[in-house]
Amino acid sequence: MRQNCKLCNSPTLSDSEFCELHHKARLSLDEGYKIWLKAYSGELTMQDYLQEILKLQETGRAVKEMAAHLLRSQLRSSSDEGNISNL
Amino acid sequence: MKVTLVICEKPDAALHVAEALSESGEATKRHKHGAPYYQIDTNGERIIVCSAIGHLYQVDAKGSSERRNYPVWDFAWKPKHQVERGQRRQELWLQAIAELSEGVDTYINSCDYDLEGSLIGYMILKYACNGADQVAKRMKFSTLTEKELREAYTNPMPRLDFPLVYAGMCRHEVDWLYGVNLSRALTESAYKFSQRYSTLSTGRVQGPTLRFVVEREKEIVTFVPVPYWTIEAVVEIDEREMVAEYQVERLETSREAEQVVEKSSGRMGNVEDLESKRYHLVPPTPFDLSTLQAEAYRHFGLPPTHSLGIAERLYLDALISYPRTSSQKLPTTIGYREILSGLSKIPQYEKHSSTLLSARALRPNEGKKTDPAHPAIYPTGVSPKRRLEPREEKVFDLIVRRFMAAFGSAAIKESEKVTVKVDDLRFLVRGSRILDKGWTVFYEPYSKLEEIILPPISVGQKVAFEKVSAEKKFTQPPPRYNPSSLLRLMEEENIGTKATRAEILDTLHRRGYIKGERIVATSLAFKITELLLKYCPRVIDVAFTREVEGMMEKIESGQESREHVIFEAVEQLKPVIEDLKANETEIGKELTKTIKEMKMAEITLRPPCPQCGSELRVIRSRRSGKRFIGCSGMWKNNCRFGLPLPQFGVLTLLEKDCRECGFQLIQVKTKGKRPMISCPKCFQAKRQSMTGSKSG
Repeated sequence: MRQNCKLCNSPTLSDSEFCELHHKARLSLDEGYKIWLKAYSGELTMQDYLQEILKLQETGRAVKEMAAHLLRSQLRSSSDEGNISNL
Repeated sequence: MKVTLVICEKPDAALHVAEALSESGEATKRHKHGAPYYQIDTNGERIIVCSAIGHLYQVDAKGSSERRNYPVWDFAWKPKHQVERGQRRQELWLQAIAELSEGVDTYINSCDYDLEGSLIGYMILKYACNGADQVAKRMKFSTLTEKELREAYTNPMPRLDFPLVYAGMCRHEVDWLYGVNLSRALTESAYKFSQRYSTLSTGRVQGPTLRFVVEREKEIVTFVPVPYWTIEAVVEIDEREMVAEYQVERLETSREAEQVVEKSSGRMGNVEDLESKRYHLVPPTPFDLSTLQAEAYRHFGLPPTHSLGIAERLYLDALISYPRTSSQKLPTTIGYREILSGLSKIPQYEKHSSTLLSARALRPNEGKKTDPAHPAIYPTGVSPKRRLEPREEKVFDLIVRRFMAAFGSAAIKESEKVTVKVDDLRFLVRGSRILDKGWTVFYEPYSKLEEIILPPISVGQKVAFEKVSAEKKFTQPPPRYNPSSLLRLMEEENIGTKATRAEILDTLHRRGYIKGERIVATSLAFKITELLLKYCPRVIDVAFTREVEGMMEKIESGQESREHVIFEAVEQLKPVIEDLKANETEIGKELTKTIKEMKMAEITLRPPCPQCGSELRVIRSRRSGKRFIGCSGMWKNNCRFGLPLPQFGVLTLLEKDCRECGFQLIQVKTKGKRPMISCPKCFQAKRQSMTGSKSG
């Protein structure tokens, strides 16, 4: 059965837990992290990256929703596991 | 007495035609069923000049078809008053023309010379004048000046311009087939599912245009900015501070940027190289409609529909040539010198037109685009006979100055580049100097050439790096379309016509698919595009629209028949509509959900309730009928939070927040008044303090 996107309740893509937009936002975030990491010579955690992304006005709406979601889920898993290393 | 009936497109045009033709007689204004017409008796000939009021006939389903039924493949041209409600004026107008056509010997179509004008005149001649389309002549003109109108009347085309008529008919018919069937499919799907009526529409041009906006919106909402650094240095050359830029425009890492600053700050550099380049800025081409619309938007913020409307008024006042043109050519036959002489009588253009008139030869810088019917937009040289409204004045001024600029010489600029070396790094100091202002003089204030004059510099000269800084910047998302850039894109993609493009943008706004000056696609736009992509991708494929457009253009040149194009269009559309019909429930369900969400979003405020954190909404009291901002947690949390709202006008929740308190701003639009923007929270606070001070 077709699922709905965790973030906006729209139908998900067949190979994703997100809708088309949020799936694309996720891919853009991953791509973006590689560039950010290079820009700061490898000295940037994923968590710091997401927090920075959330602050910028240039960031797209779907990307901000995804970044907030990733931060929330990481906080949940870190409180369960006691670390944030896998963010 | 020989009687000639001249049919114009609009009453204002009829007045100009009558005035022009009444040179040796007198035009008497009369009325029939409320429609004005002019009668001129001259040299044993009676000329009757009447007019349409835009289209008096339109495409509709053949016979009497229930408006909600689809698919509909059989159509017919019917008088507008039989198709649409509230068209009594049009009905009387047609009746008047039909009566005036009795006993007429010669018929002339004098509507604007383009697709629409040819069609308007043809329909009236065919249906209201008993098949006079077969014997009628055609006046061809590009301005409503007396000279040109008299010329066009004396030497009309012997027959109507049938290829243009058929192309016009075909465009209306194909657009009707697409619009009616696709829009009804969407509207009916949503209605059958929700039992609530919402007008949804799409069409042959509307669909691909909306897709452009949606695709851009997707890029914007999924955009991730990435950092980069730019280096700016303030250097001292010959006791003058100048800005120097690092040779690499963007540095991708912070480390690189730090190194450049470290290596150059407070150091002395040497001028390594001097380079100067002279280049010519060619004059702008004369205006075609879309460049006029783009410039009017750029300089005055006028939306394209407004600038078109203004240009049409100026045309009807015989101040400019016909504005619905795609030509950038100015043929010599328009009489350059005569126009400039006319302009020289208008004080603000006297100086520049005289300068141009003193030139031995006048040759405009024409663009590539052509139009078989009309030249580029140009002023007629006639002075305004009435006081122009401020916006009309602006557009007129823009057209006049552009026309003059097209005849100007190239502007000559010299750019200078100084390379300064410090350590192994190179910085550039740029300057520019205007050697000859050329055409820009005529186009001021719409053209600005900026100069940066450098002090005398020689190779080897010492340069002090006073201040060097690295600035962190972020890449920007692609810009949102504005009405002007979207129109330009439609034109580049060759979809729609110069006459219909601006109207399509209006329809997209009206349907709630797009909003704002910097165009944002709404969730309904996303849904419509998604559904059309899923069930009928070809309909919103720009290549397909372009293909149909190309076929219709061929009718104009006689290379394609109207019947064949319609047959092809129906063949393409039939399977699409069948598919949509088969999936009505699924489509209706998705559309209903989006419409509901959009309606809810329209009345839901962004800030949560300050008392209980629930959503704040615009609510209308069932008891008093008054609207206010209330808390959705009223039933659950017994929250009584509320804010007052203005009771009259169309209310919109704005994206902006109040500068004072950060609450969401609202806008109220009342007919005939300026929109009022206010903050409900501040309003209440002010009201409370006033009642408090009064009672105190």
